[in-house]
Amino acid sequence: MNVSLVPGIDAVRPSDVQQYLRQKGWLPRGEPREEVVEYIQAVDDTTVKVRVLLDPAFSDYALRTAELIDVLARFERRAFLEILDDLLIPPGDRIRFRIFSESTRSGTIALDDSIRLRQAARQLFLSSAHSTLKPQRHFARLAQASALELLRDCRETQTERGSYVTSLLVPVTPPVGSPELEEPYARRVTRTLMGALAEAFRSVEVGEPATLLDRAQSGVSSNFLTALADMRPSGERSFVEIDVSWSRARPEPVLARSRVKFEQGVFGMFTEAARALRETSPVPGLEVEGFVVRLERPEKGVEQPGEVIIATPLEGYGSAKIHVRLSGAAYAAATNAHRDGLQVRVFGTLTKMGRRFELRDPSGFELLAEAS
Amino acid sequence: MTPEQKKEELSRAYVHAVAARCGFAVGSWSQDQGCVDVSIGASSALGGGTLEDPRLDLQLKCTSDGRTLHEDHIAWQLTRPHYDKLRARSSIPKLLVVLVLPGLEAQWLDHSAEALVIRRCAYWLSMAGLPPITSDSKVVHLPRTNVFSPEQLMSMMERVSRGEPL
Repeated sequence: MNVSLVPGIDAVRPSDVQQYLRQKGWLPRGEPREEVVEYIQAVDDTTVKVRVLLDPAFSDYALRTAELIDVLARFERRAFLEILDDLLIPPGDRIRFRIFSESTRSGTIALDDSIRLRQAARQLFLSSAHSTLKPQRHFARLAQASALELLRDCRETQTERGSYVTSLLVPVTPPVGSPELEEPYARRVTRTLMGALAEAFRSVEVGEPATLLDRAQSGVSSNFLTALADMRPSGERSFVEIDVSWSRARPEPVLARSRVKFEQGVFGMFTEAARALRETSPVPGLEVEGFVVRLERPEKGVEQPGEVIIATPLEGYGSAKIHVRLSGAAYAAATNAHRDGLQVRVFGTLTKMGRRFELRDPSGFELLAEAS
Repeated sequence: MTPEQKKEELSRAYVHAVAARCGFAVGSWSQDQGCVDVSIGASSALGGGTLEDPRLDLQLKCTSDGRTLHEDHIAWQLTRPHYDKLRARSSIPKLLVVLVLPGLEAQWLDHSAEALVIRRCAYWLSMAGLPPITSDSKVVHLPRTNVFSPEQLMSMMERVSRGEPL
């Protein structure tokens, strides 16, 4: 083992090592002796022991830390560098996305594919963040403030070796006091994301994609499946692997799966399931903002209702034209907006029938002032 | 293999042999890791000590230059960075070990069905706590009484297990 060629070893902090060990079930043995503390873990009939140097000023700090990581790597059957990364990055749930294909063997990836993967990872996380707040089959917009705020706090960690790997670090705060209060939102989002991936994996395993249409409570939304489908790797025998390393600042949750793998051939199933969810899911309480592009009132008279078409951006569709049936007064206001080129806002339940979007039970119709 | 590389390998072989005689394991590092070439470790407490797995880190040197030999010590020159690394506070005691070979390469190692002989002897020095220097280098003295033998290695490991200085 050549310690000096491994960047960052001497930057590992004793507190982070101890936090990591405790999270993995290691127990401190006795009191520290001369700034060295031992941790042990029983395995079958033996006890494995590691030593943590509490003072980075020791001249052999890097050497001893490398030895410790080497023991952990063999104990956990993980790569040395993977554990080193876990110790170096700030505490947080770490979600890794690995692309295996002929073209990524070198550890590189086409730029467009890299951008697509990152965008998809972002949407996967954002849709899970929304599902954690309120599970739905489809989100017309992924715009909840708390979800967006959490996304802003997430970090991308440096890429790792092993085909092409990108990681998302979700900041998870440590617990304060005991007994523990509800898990923080960030941790719940990670759970939701991994739970939804487990459902997707199960549907592939049993060969029944229809099961995905009924898993909104587990975080499976059309948005989630669309993002997952966007991760499709290119080339035969390629696959995507997603796993999670839990923050050392909190107890590790028990999940059915902490790692899933999707072969290249299954991504079409996710695309179709996403489409089915999107097109069969009414979206209640949707706020629509856009321009009135068409007016239609079969019966003339200011009291008469009419139908307008509002052009607006819509998640998953780009630009859409939504049909809205308005009362007489609202229709009159829509007429003015159309004349003056002003945007309007209205609330309602969005449905899709074939290729037609319709906003039912509209309320709160108003003109928006022109931007100054 | 150059003569210097042969010397390095012989010094490692010497340490491995002495450690094996005591029943200690030896771990090697592929490159000079902060002045540590090998680590010697025991798997249990020794000499009535409480430390269950005492260890020593060794920096190995080797010379066939007779001018290093003095009546009561081996003289060895260290650069200041090297000197500072060897005297720095560490969690595991660190030793400088110098194997002194004969001047003639043909005399370094003899083999027969009766015996394998490596000439001549390695000496050790613990530099922990030595004062800093301002010059670019320093000649340290390894006492000729500090023989790196199985007996002295065992004695050192026992002291480490008891938490005593070397």
